[in-house]
Amino acid sequence: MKTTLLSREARLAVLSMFVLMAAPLFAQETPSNPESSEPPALPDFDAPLQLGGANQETEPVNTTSQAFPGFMGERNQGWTSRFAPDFNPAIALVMDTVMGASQSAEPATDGFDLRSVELNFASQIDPFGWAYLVTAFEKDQFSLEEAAFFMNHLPAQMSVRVGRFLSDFDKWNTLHEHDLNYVHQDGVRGAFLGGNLRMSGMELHQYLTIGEVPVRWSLGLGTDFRGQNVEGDGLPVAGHTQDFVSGNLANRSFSQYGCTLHCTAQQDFGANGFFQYGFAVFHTPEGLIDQIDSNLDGVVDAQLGRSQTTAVLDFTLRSVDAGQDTAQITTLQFWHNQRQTFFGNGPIYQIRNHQANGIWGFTMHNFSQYWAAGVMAAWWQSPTNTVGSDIFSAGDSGAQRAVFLTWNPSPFNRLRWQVGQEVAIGAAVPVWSVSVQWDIVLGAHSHPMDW
Amino acid sequence: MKAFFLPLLFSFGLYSTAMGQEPVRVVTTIPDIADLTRTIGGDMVTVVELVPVGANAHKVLPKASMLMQLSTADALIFMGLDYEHAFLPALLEKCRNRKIQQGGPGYMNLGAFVQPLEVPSSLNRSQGADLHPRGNPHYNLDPWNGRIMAAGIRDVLMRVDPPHATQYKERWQRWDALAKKKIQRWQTWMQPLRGKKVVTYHRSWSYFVQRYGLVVAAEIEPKPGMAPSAKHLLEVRKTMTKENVQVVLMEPWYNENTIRSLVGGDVQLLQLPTTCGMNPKTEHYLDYIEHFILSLRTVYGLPPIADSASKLKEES
Repeated sequence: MKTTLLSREARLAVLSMFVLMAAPLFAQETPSNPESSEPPALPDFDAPLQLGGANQETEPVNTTSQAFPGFMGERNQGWTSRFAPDFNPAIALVMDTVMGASQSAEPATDGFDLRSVELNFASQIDPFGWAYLVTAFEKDQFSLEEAAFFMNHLPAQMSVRVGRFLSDFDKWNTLHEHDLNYVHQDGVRGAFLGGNLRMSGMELHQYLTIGEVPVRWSLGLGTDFRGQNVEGDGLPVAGHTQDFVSGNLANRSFSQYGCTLHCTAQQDFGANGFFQYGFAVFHTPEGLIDQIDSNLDGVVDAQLGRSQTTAVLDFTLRSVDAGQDTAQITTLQFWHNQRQTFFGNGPIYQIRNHQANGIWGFTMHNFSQYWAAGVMAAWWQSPTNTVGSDIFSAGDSGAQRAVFLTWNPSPFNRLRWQVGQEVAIGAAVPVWSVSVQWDIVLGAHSHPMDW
Repeated sequence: MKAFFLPLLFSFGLYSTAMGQEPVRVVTTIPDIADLTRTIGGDMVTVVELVPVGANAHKVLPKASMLMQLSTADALIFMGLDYEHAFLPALLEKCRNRKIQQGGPGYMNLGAFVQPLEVPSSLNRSQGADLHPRGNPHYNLDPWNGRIMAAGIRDVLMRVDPPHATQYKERWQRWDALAKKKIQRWQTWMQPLRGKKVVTYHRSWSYFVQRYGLVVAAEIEPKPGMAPSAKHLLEVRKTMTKENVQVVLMEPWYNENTIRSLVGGDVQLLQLPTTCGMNPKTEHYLDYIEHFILSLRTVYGLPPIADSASKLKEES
């Protein structure tokens, strides 16, 4: 008798199992028929959404911890420690190098110059305000350019800034030189204020609407105000024509304070642009201090305060075609300066009142996100040589004009070429110069409001 | 006399509160969010969009007028993932409106609800200038994410305007049902393009490409935000020939001349904005996505889908 291990039914079952298992190996790929394929299953979102990608059909990932591994991977664990980087200020470093060659007799303006290395820190203090600090290494010296804090949560959209800072004097005063659209600062500002106006004090800001027009104003009150290009010893930096520095008095009266007022309005221009116009005034009754030797014994023993008032009207048109990556900006400013000077020595001196005017502007076109070109020009009267002169009539005046080309390989890297001509006050012939500026930014950056 | 006037004044106050239902003021950033907010909010909202139609959001100027809009807004709805970094942080810093600050009832960061792609594992600017630490922000180009955006908009409107919560939910349900239908159809329409290779200028299309199974063979930008060099363009051209790439996807704000050497012959350039609203055909978000899908099918030589546009138009 023939014996079998498996019954006929069982053999058939095993055979069919093998056939089923092997079938995919021999099956031909059927062409997909898109119109008849099964529609995908979609999740429902009837309940409120969940954070962190949990609403998608795939597993959510902790993206935050991927993006910021943090110190030893401990970020976002719900605690803080002395070494956690989370609450440290944002840090940025800006290097501004300028290589220049000119016909100037002053050799200091030629050659390769690491014009400044700027180190910036900024952080929120608490829910009510934030603080920042700008230090700079310039001319082989470290200096504290700005150190101030803002308190934002005052009523009626007001805020206050306290510390040492570039005053909100006009549209361009708060920009550091490396942030300008051209290589060298306008000559008017240099002549009348010695560069950007910096002060120690406090400033109140507010924005509001008048009708449909957004308006912003600020009022500053301070002491120790000086042009940013004036170093600590009061000597003007090479290339700038006018010293401007206040003194430090033991018993300071209000007449030796300085105050600034800035009022500006901005209206939309096209889909992505604006027209901004405003005025700014800086005034000190006796804040410019002269040290004098009253009894002619060779020792400075008295201080006399001089007055100065500077007023600016500014107009700026800026537009960006965000659909074509092109942009334009044009600025025009009119300046007026009144100041007192002392003449004489010892107990006999004479006070003279001077008036001077200036005008400057620039226009720049961005052809793409990488390339831009523009021109700038300035003209100004000597703030000390013109006594009661009429507008645009002074004999002693300076002028400046330049064309520039800018290449931005990336938002953190900028190379600029500039050809300029400058006529210094009292100079007979203009001086040509060529400059190459290279700026780089490391670390944190921001896009502040241009207002 | 006082007894007469006080109740009168009181009742007038109540009446004016009840009748003077001001629409909810919503500030949005890109046109896609504005369109979805208008759809879900209807007459109960007024919508302002900060990014002009067809604009590169990275180039939007933070203007004083925007600040004023934000200072009186009831809600702010934005993409997040640093998409609006060129203007929104500066505006929020200046704007004292606590309703729309982080933690406020009207603050809606839609990016917090999606799963981002291309989150860098380390932050290093040698990897590109246009790096987004929290991941690729162009998630609106995936219609699945569009549904998440719409649900987020519904949530914030219900939060800031509870009396109209039911209406918002109903309006959202209608939109979402339509979106589901369309997404299912698009999935089948895009099925033949699965595995097809494209070249993109910038990494704007990552979500779309991933959703529909397209493959990015190369990018015109050597690194995000960096202009292509001649050498890089040559390499892209070689890749395109080798991989048989037929389509280059590019946003309208990049210069077409840059890639002139790459297109022509079998290769077509499809230049499309990354949001809706550029023309009447793409006025609404769903129309925009559909237009994109149909355009892709056309450039790949697929037959037109009969009556699809008009049929779906009727439905919407």
